[in-house]
Amino acid sequence: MNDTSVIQTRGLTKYFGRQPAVYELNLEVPRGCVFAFLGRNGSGKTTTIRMLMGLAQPTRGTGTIFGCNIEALTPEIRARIGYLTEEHQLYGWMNVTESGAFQAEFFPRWNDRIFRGIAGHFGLKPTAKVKDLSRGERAGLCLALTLAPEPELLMLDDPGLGLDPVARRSLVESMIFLTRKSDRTIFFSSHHLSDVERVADYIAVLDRSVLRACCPLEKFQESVQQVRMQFSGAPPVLPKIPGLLQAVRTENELRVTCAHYNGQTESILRSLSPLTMETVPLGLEEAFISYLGERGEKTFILSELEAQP
Amino acid sequence: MKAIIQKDLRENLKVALIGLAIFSFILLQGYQTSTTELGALLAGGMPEDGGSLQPLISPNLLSEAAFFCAVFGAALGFLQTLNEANRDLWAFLIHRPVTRAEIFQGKVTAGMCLYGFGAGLPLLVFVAVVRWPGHIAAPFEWKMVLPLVSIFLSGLGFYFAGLLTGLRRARWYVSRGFGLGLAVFTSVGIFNLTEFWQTLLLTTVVVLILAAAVWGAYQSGGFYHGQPLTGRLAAATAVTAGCGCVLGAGAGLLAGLVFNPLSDHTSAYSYYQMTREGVIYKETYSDNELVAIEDLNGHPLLDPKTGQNMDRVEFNKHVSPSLAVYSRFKYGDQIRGNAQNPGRFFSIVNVRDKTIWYLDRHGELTSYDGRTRKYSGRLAPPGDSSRLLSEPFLFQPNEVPFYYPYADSSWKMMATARAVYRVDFKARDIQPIFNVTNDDEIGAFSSAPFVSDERAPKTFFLTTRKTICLGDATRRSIFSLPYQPGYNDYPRIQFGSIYTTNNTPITTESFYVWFEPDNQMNKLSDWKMPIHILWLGPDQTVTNRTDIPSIPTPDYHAWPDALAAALAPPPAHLVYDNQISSPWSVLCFALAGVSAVIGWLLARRYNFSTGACLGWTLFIFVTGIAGLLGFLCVQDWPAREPCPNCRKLRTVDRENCEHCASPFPPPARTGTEIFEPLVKQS
Repeated sequence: MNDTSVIQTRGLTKYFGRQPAVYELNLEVPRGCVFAFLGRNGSGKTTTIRMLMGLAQPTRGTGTIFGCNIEALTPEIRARIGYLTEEHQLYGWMNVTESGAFQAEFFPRWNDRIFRGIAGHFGLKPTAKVKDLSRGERAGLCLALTLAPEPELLMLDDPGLGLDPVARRSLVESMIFLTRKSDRTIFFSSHHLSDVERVADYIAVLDRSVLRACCPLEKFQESVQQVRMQFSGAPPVLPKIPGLLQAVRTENELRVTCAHYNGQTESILRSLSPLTMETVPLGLEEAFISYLGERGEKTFILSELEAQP
Repeated sequence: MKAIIQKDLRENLKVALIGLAIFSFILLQGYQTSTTELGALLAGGMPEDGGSLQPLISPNLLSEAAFFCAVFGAALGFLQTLNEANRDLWAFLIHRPVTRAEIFQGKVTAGMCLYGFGAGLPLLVFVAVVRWPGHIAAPFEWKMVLPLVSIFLSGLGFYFAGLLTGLRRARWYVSRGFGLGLAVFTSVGIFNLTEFWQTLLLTTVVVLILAAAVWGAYQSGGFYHGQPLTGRLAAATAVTAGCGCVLGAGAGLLAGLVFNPLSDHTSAYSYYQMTREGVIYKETYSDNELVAIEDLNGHPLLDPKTGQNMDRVEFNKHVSPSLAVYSRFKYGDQIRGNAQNPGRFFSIVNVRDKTIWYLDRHGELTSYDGRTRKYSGRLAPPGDSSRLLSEPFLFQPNEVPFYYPYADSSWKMMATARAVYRVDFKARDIQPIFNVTNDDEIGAFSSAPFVSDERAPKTFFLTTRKTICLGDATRRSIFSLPYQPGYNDYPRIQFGSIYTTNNTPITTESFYVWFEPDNQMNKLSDWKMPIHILWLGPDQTVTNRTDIPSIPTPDYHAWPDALAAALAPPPAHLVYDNQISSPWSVLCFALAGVSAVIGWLLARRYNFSTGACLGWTLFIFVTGIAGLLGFLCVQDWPAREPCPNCRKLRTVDRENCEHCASPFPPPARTGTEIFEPLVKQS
């Protein structure tokens, strides 16, 4: 194993019945980075995280966290990992203080100052019952419980799920504040690409159970490019383009999005003799949507429909 | 672990409180029933059962307590895991720097404390109340607490089964509850086994198996795969037991609803009867309908009034009243009984002047004042000065379970192993009326044989090792015969009076005595042991004797029995071979063999190791069809898909194809992959 890798998987696979939820996942997460794990619903993100945390058994393949087999994580290794589940479930009958006290019993490096700080940041009353907390408050309490043990690795499964923008912003800020101070690693899944864009160093993208991208965030944004071409008439038939993600044609315009846009791609597109040809900058969200959206050519035929009697 | 114990105690305290309230109510009801029964008895009524007077051994209370402990234990265990059934809460529980074994220990410690609180505390209070003089007017001994202790302990099996039900992640959702099947065995055992140590052993084994299965489930998050070997063995055993229960219930339903109504009943049986004229007839029944009454030569008995075959009602008018006793010695060793039999501890022998007289299992005649509910003395035969303790009365728990107040008098005849006494409860006096010789011993005694003349003195009938006697309360010996053949081969003795046809006895001293062979021995001898019959004349000499052939007990098995025999684990046939008919035994072994072959093929198909293949095949053969179902239920069967290389189906949980050893192919590339080596951030 690479010494700088906190998480490493080899051929990690999980089947539910006959369907693979995660297929042959090979992943390495360097120490000290913020690693975003992206994908559409059902792509296998949560299953992967649960496998990494030893909560779901892989059908085959192996994985390690801090060099320890994920199927036999020792208490010492668990003490170094903070895990935040997506539904922010806690014991409803406990109050905020009791939740902290319960968690503190187990973690040797429990930092009550951090716990109280985050709880205060989210405006949590110490005597408030967990079942009476709002979703955002519960998320804040979960984050406090996850961060107070001062873990070296944070595994966050869609921490912003269901939160309003304010609560989500608080969560992200807390995350950034605490993790940037030290050599901590954050591995998190999210659908909020603006959050990802703000904090992530690396991203990995799962598409229908298969890992399709794993690279620095900037590299992903560089690799996914969109080119807009104007034609005098109907756009010509598109030749085979390596790495084509999407091609959308209208009456006299063709927009082509592809991965690994390079000189060869550009020369192919220029051979179509467009009137104009320009590269459109894509944000992470557009790049991501293009990357995981429907592949192939699409034609908008709205004008043809309007022309019909 | 302390934090988990505290959390679970607090989380499930309400369940324990509800249990405490329900069980307290059940026990209070048992106490009330005892009070009601006592009142009825003192008012001259007949108690429903003698055991209710002592609620510790009341069959109704024991059944209710067993039901409660089973439901409470299972519910507590299930709810304790249900709290963390949500996968994220489960993750919150599991992801902490302790081993899963410690989490298991914490939860189980809390659960057992709560079970003890909900079921044990009311029980302790109940026993203390019952033990305290002035509450229960019935004998008490600490052994009477053991059935309730067994029931309490059996609830622990249900507790672990409940935990297992909540934890198991089974493919077949219903099979999650199969662990309860093993716990059911403890309940069955409590009401059928005779000794406390047997129920304790059974409960301990069941609890250990289920605890190991729960421990294993905690290790793997409820899945079979990933458990240690001990956990897997325990899970397989528990689930197989559950399959056995389901199979048994299914077979019973099938037999009761389908086979029995459709099948042709052949429950034919015959037995001999002696008429008041001293003639032997054989009655033959089929499906409880009289088929024939024939003499020993096979001629049908005709009704002289109609000239037709005599019917049952008419024939019963001719049958001689008789009495049978079973000779057994060393009563102390033979007095056994299961929890359903309160008579194994004591029987009520008399109620006089608001005083209830009990004969306890030690042969002691003790009395309790019905008003104060306190012990009020004992009666014992006049002691031999050389003995410290007086001779105990013979206690025949299974033969005299009920008390009949309407046939009660102020005195009774009771026997010890050496003498018969006239026990006067009103005067509290005991006088001997019959003694055996020093080298002899009474083996069977009946103080209330049929009475031919209400004005005649009360008679008693007894057998010793050497003789068979009929005497009366005036110390008169009516007859005495040598016990030939001996009591070992012929323990059952029947005798009766012979009358004239106009309902007047020929003489009150004309009798017949019938020696019946031991059923088991007779069966082993292929029913070749005859029944010996003697006729005694008025001078008590043997006037006639004959031997008639024994009638074999038919090996009739109802459909439920037959199906149970076929579906039972084969070792049961080796242990209980004499109780299970051979064709069904053969079918059982055949089914076990077929199941084992199916198991072997499945194990091979899913690429179990050779050891696992052999182990499962052996397990299935030993446990029969239930084992095969258990095998199917317990395994997390992986999917199979065609190998791109050899096209054969291969299991997805292996790194390489089991047929061609090729690895799984990497995901097909689309040309849109974006990968770049990751390096540590500066």
